[in-house]
Amino acid sequence: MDGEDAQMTGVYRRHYGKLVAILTRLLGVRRLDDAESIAQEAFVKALQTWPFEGFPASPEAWLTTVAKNRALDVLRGERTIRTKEDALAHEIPAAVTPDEAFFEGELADDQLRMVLACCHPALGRDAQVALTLKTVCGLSVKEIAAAFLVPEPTISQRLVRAKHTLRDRDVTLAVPVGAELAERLEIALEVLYLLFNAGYAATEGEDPIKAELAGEAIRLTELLCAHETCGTPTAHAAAALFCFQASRFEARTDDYGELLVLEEQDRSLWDRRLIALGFRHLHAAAKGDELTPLHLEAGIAALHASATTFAATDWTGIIHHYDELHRRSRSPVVALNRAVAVLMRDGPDAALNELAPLAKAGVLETYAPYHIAVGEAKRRQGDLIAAKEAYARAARFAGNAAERRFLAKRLHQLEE
Amino acid sequence: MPKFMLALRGNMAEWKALSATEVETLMNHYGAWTESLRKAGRFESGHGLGYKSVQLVPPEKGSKALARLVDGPYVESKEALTGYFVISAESLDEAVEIARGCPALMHGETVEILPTGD
Repeated sequence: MDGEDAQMTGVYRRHYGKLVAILTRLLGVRRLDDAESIAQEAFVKALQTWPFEGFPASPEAWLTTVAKNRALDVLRGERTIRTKEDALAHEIPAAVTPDEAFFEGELADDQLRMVLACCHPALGRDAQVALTLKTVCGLSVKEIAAAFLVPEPTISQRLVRAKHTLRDRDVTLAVPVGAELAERLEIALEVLYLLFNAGYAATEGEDPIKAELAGEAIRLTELLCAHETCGTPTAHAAAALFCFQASRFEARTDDYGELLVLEEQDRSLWDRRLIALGFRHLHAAAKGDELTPLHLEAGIAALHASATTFAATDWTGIIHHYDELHRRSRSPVVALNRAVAVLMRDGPDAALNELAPLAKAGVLETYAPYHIAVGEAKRRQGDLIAAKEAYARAARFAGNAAERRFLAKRLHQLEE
Repeated sequence: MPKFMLALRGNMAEWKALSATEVETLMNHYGAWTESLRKAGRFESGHGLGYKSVQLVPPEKGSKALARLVDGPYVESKEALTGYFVISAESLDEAVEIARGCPALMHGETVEILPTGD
């Protein structure tokens, strides 16, 4: 199907995830495969019905009813076989009617538990991501493969192995408590962080599903935040970070789909609603005495979001946040970002002093943003030849076509 | 106005491989297409098929045996009948024009246009 005519709102995709969560509650995590095929069957049944007989008033209720009844049939059939009589079958409701099938709170809880099951520590990170996308976000194997540029069979194998692991460990849909909950939440937030970044990095011309991952990450983080024990200050910090970043989604590209840096963005296009939501989450994140890297990243994003112009940015505040982050992570990328903030506050000489030792460490040598930072500092020093060289190096390591076009534009500007 | 049957044929096994997003796209198209037919007074009826079916096979010529009941044709076969619409149109040409908009074509199904003689 063509991407261009896909007026994608993601309603079905999200509903597929909800169906899988409800069905997994009924059938158990060990039967995740059955839950998925029953959800899929409900969609096939809809395709066999709605176009011919008209669309139901509530497609969601229709699908939920069909799927739940099918699951109850399966359970009843098995129970009958097991007991050779219907003595126990009365425990299973005869059928679900559309009116009672819907209860948003119950649904949200099912989905939350599903996210936590997908983020079980026995699974590798790739498996956690793939399983979340497949069962909670309703992406097909093909769509996951396209979003992460991984061959379809690899994704399929990952999913099969992940489900086996969950079955072998007898994983349930219970929300863990205590230290186990803390561990699970940490993983879940890392998985959501990955989803958000994959979505945020999506550019024009790429698989349109990929851009939806940022919205999915926000939706699922909100689910965590709304839960009594999962809504920790760190979960709120993640939500705040995602909201601030996503608020710039529209402003990030120009009319031709080309990337714009913060300095070039039209700040009136920033989504005020998301920024306000970000600040609400940031406020909730400040409860307690924890200061995680997510808190610091959210803090930096908040400083950008609250600057009315690029010139008005609180670079000193941002540098302090990066210092804190660097103290914890020792990440060269954090050091690079700090150097860029120094460039904005103190100018190119100070920035190059920080950038030079970073290159010696080696790891940033193939990282395009490093060369962009050097190029920008050199340009501001008036050394256009060195600037061009740096941008040309950056182009070699650019991650996608949009980045390469952005760098070509920069090089062109230097020619003028 | 003459009536035509649009017979949809495809492989239902492939439906299971459709992603939720693909189903959504198809449904949006079906919604728009059937809505426009209904508004124009051209929609007569329709049903989804593609369930497990059986068929009666006639006995040999001259035999007194009953028709034999066999399974199939199977919905997994490439050309299973997955559904039909009955529409009204001024002419076969117009019926073909209407059928061109049928979203079944978007997921690899063929659409056969059968005049009913009405």
